[in-house]
Amino acid sequence: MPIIHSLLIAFSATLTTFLIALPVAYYLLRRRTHFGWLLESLLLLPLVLPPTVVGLFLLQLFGKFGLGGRFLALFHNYSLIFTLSGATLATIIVVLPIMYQALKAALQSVDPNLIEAATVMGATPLETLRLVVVPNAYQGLIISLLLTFCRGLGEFGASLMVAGYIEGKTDTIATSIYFSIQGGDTQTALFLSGVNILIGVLALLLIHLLNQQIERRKQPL
Amino acid sequence: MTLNIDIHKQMNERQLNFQATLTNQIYGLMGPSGVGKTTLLRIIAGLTTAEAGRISCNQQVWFDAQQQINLPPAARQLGFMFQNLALFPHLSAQANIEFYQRLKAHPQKVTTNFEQQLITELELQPYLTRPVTQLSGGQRQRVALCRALILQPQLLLLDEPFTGLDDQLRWRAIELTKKVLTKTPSTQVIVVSHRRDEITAFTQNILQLSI
Repeated sequence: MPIIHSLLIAFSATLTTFLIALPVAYYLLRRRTHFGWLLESLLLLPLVLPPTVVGLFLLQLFGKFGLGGRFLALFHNYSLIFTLSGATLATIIVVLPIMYQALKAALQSVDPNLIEAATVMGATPLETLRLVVVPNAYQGLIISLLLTFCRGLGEFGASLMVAGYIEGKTDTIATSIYFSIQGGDTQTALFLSGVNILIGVLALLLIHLLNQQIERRKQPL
Repeated sequence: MTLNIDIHKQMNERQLNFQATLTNQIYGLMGPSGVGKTTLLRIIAGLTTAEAGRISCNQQVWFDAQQQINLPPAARQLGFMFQNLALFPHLSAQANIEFYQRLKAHPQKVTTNFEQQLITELELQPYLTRPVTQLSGGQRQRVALCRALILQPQLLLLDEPFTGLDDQLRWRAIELTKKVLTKTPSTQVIVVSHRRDEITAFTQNILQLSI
């Protein structure tokens, strides 16, 4: 169960942060705005905070007496606390800066003249993204997804604060390893660690292959 | 066509000031490295904004700092050949030339007579299906020129179009470019180069930028 929970959380968090960070990174790449640094700082903030601080913030916000918690309670007394959705939300906040930074680097790798050439021909920003940026940065985009997924898979502090550790309900690979060791079950901890390492190594192998492709693409035309 | 340019832009440690009225078909823009030749072309194209001044083409105002008018590049109906050619590396030569067909702004989906004529004049037929990454420097230069001309722009901006070609290829490319430009007399052209011989091969109308 913890493996499925972790995969589910990591997958949802990766998809959500991709959908949030891609438009922001693309917008900030194209436009120099006065508030761009503020938006970027907000996205990067979780990177400079301990995950437990993110968790505490979410607990305050979505706890019984928090603004978000009281709002969600209006819908059949729903609560994010001690749920897999809560763990997913915590993971989203924690991995968002990683996704944003990786996407930004991927988009910046595209020759700005290609974007301008499309613009001169009448391409809209969305057409430029679809027809020029994505085809020329897809390796970087996949790397962003893989890095975020792996980080999401190992998320511990923030999701533990928000979702706790309830066996069969909110247990993840990272929390299960911790509580298995606490309970003296080294076998389970080792098995789960092995699964996590295997996924991580496979992801790194893929990233390496993609980076090789990027290097080949950098050869001047 | 009459192109009126009067622009002022602060560049790092100096001011780029340029004022001219262009009425002939082809102009050469010369000047030492770093004087602002590319910046001037980018301002005309709408890719960079000047701090002050006005650009108008015939009766249409493209840029007016005072009235806060700044038409987007596509609305200026121009072709731009970048110094590094800016060919889309994931596409073939033909897909680069016909890139406009993928855009909502240009719904036509058929190869026009003009396109066929351009491809023939520029001797691109044998390379059309090849990815641009597999073309030689001279072939890529011709693909970029073809792409810049395909929509029959009212203004064509060529930024150091023959950079990177050896002498023999350069003069061959200049001859082909001249030939094509004679077939598009309604397109006004500004060619940027730091080489006087390249410019004079095209025109005696020389605009000099100096520090």
